[in-house]
Amino acid sequence: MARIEAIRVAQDAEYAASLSDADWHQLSLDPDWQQLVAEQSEMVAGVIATHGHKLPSFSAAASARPTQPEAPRTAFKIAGTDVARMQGIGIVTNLGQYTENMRMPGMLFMRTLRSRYPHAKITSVDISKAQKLPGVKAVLHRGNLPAEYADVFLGAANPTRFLFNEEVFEVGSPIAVVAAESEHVADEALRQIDVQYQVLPAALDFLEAMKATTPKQFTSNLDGTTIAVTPPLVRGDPTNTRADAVVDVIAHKPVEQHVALEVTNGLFWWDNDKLNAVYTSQWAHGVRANLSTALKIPQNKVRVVQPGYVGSGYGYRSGIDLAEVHAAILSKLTARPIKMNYTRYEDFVTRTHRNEFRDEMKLGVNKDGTLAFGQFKVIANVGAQRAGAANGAWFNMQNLYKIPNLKLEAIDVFTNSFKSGPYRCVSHPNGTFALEITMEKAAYAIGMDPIAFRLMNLNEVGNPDTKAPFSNPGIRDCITAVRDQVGWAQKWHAPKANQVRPGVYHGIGMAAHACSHGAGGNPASGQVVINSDGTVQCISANNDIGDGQRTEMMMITAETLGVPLTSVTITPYVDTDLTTDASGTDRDDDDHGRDARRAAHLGNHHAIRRHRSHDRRQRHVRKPADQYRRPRPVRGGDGRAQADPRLGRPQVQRRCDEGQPARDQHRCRHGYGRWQGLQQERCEQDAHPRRGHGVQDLGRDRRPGGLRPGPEVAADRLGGARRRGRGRHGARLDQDHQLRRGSRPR
Amino acid sequence: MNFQLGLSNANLGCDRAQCGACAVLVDGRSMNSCTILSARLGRGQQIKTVASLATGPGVAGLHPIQRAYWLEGGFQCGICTRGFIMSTFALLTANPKPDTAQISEALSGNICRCGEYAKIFKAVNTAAAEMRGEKVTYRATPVVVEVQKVATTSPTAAAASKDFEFATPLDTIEQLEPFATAVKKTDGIIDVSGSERQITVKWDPAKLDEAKVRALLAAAGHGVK
Repeated sequence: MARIEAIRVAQDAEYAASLSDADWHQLSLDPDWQQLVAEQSEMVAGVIATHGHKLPSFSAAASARPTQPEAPRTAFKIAGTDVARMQGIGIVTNLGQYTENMRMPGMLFMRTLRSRYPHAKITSVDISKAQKLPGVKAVLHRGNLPAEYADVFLGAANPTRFLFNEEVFEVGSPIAVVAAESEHVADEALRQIDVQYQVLPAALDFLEAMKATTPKQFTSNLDGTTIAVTPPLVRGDPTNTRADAVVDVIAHKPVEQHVALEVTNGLFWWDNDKLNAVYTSQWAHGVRANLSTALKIPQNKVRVVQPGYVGSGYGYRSGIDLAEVHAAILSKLTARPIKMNYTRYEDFVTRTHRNEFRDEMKLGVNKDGTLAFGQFKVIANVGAQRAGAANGAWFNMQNLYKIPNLKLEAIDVFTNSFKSGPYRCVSHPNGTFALEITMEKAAYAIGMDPIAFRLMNLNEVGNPDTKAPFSNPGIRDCITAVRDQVGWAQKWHAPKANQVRPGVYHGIGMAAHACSHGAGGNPASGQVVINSDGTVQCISANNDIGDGQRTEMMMITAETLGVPLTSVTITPYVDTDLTTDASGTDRDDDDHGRDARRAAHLGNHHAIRRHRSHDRRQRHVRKPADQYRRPRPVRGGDGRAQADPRLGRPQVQRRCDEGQPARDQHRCRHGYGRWQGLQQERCEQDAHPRRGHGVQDLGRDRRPGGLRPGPEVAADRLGGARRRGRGRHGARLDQDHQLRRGSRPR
Repeated sequence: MNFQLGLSNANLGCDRAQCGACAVLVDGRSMNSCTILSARLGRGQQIKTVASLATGPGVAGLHPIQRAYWLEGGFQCGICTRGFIMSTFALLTANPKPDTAQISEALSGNICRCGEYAKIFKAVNTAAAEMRGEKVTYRATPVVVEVQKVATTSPTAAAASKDFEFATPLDTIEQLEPFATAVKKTDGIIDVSGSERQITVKWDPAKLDEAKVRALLAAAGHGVK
C-alpha cells in the first residue's frame, strides 16, 4: 500500500477524496497526520469535516468537551507546590547525559555530503576515492542504496523527498553519507566524493515564485511553485460592507530557525534485529513511528530512547529527518553503532524552520468601535517541502474578534530554500502579529483605547463558523489582568504624544493571542507500579525537555495515591520499549494529560478526579487492540484484561469484527474525538476487585511507609502464576505471586 | 574533553564560541572550550569544570551555585547550564556581591535559548548570598528520597529478638526474602532475617510476644520448632 501523504490530505481536496477507507485507516496511524491533528488542528478541520467519518475512532459527538465545574484549589497537598525538577541535579552537575556526549564501544561516526545548490540534478557521484580512505567503513548514496529503500521518502510530495534525491530542491539535500572510525576521517571522506551537478533555476523569493512566469519544478495546476491555495473562508459579505475607517496593513515575517543549543544527534544500533536509537527528540513514539515507516519494519522492531536530557525542542524535534534514516541503514550495513551528529551548519540549514509570511490585511472599523469587515490574505513560504502554514495563521483572524463579515485567504508557496515545520506554535503567532498590528491601527483610526477596543470586540463564545465552543474562553481575564498589572491606564497615551527626543516617541502596546493547540493529542497514558516495599514508580512516555512534565507526573501520582512525594520516582528518560505513547512535549492534552497538568499547575482537584474516574466505560478496555483479535472469555485474574461484559462490547472490538485489523493504541491519537476504546489508563488506582490487571489493582493503605496491598487484591493475586511470561507486567506480577506463595500455607 | 577523554563536563552548544554552553574555567577565567585548542594552552593550566564543584552526593554535596541553579529553577533544557554555572563561579569568586549589571556582564557570554534569564539571575544572587555565609531559602524543594526507616511502628530499643528453626527447612534460600517481606508487613514486626533453616525475628514486645510470633510464622506458611 502506498504511503498516504498526510499534509497533502490536509491541503489537496482531490487527493483526500481519492483515498479509500483503508487509506484513511493507514493515515490515522501516521505520526505526521497525528501531529497535524494535534498541533495544527485548524489545518485539518476542513478535511475532517468532510472525511472524518472514515477515520477510525472518529466521533463528532465526542469532540465536544463537557464543561466541568471548577473545584476549589485548596484541596491539594502536593499539586501546586514548588517542587524542584527532578532531573535538575543531573543538569547542574555533569551527571545528566545529553545524547551528544553519549558513545558506544565500536561506534562509527556519520557525516553527510549535502547539496551546495538550491536546485540541481545530481548527474554523478563518485565515491571510489572516499571508499579507499583508511577508516571509512561505508559510503551510501543514491547509486548504492539497497533497493528496498529506493522508494522511501519523508514528508509529502511535491516534490518527494527520497533518501537521496536525483533532483535536489534545497541547499543541504543529502547526496551521500559516510560512516567512518572518526569524525575527522568522515569529514575527509566527504571531501573525496566527487559530485557532478546540473544546476537548475531556483525559486528563492516566494512572491516571485508564486507568479505564473516562474518555471515549474513539479506537476501542478497552480501558478509557479505555488503548492496549495486553500479555499477561502467567507463569512457574511466582506467585500460590500462599508465602514467608517479602513485600515490596510502588510505584515512580513522572515524565516526563523530554532537554533536549539544541542544540535540534532543520535546513536543508532541494531541489536537482535531491532533498531535502537537514542535521539534528541521531544516525541519518542513519533520518532519510532517515523523510523518504522521509513525502514519498513514493525514499530516493535524500533526502540527509541529520549534521554530526558535534550538541548531543547521548540516543536521541530517531534519527527526525524533523512539523516536519521541514513544512520539506521548505515548501522545495519556496517553492524556497528552509528553516532550521528549534525554540525551546527547542518542543524541550522537542514532542520525545519518557521515559515516566512506575508499577511495582507484590510480591516473595516466603525466609529462606535465595532468591526465591520475583514479581508485577510496570508501567503506562506513553506520552503522546500510541502508543509501547511498559511491557513494555520487564520486561527486568530477567524476566532479572536467578532468580525461579522470576513474573508480569509491562504496560499502556500514552495521555494528552494529552507524546510518549514513546527516552531513554537507553528503559524498562529504570525497571524497574531499581523492581526494585532491591524487592530492597534484600527483603534488609533477611531481614537479608541486599544485595550478597550479589543475587549469590546472579543469573541468569547466559540468558533463563529463551525460553532464549536471554546474550551477556555479566558482571554478577557487575561487582557484585563495584563492591563491592570502593567498600569496601562497610567502609561498609555495617544501615538506620538510623548516625544523622547526629536523623531523618537515613547509608546506602549499590547497583543492578544489565542491558541488552538500546543497541548495536542491523545493518548496521554501512563502507568504506576507499586513495589512490594510500598514505593511507587511512575512510568510515562511524557517527553520532558526541561519543562518539568515528568516531575509533574510524579506529583500527580503522589497526589492521586495520597503518598509522600518522596516515595514516588520517575526516570528522566522515555524508552518506547517500556512505555505507551503519551504524545510529544507539551502535547499531553485532551482528557488526561491536560487535565492532569492543569491540576498540577492550578491545583484543580476536580481535574484529577476526572483523570481518575471519567468515562468508566472506556476504563474497562485496557489492552491494546491486538488482544482483541481473538476474542477471549473474560477471566478474572488471568492477566488479560478484557472488556467488562456489563459495559457492553468495546468499540474497538466491533471494528475488528468488521475486518479491520486493530493496531495498537496509536490509532486513537486523534484530536477529533475523545480517545476511544484502546486507552490503557494505567494511572487508574481505584481498586477494582474484578479487574484482572495486577499492576494497578492494588488497594491503598495510607500509612507512612507508603502503599500496601489491600485485602481485595489478594484474590486478584491468586491468578499471578498464570501471568508468568507476559513481559514486564508479567515479571512484576510474578514477584507478587512469589510473595503470596511465600506467605501462604502450603 | 568530551571525545578524547570521554567526559561530559561541558556540553557542546553552538560550536562557534557564541553561546557559552561549553564554558570551563582555565586558570580561573571562564572560556568557551569549544574553540580552545588545548595544545596551545601549553602545560600546567588548571581546567575547572562543573564536575569539580560538588563536594559530595545529593543536594547537600552540591556547590551553592549548583544548588541555587537547581532549586531556583535557573534552567529549562539544561544544555547551557554547566556553562552558566562556570561563568557564575568565575564571577562570584572575583566578586562576592555582584549587582545586576555585573551579573549581566559576567554572564553576557552565555546564552539560554529557552530564556530562563530571570531565574538565572535569581540563582546567581541566591548562590552569592549563600557563599557569603548568609542563610538562604530556595523557591523549590527537591524530592529527596530518604532511606526508609524500618522501625516505623515501634522503638528499636525496646525490641525483642529470637532465632527460630523452621519445622521444615525452606526449599531454597530464595524463598526466604518473599517470606520475610510478607512477615514484616505485620504490625509489630521490626525485622526478619535468616536462612533456609532458621529465621531471626525482631519484634515490638508491646504488640507481640513469642507465642504470637510463632503463630504468625506458621500462619504465613512456615512453622518453626
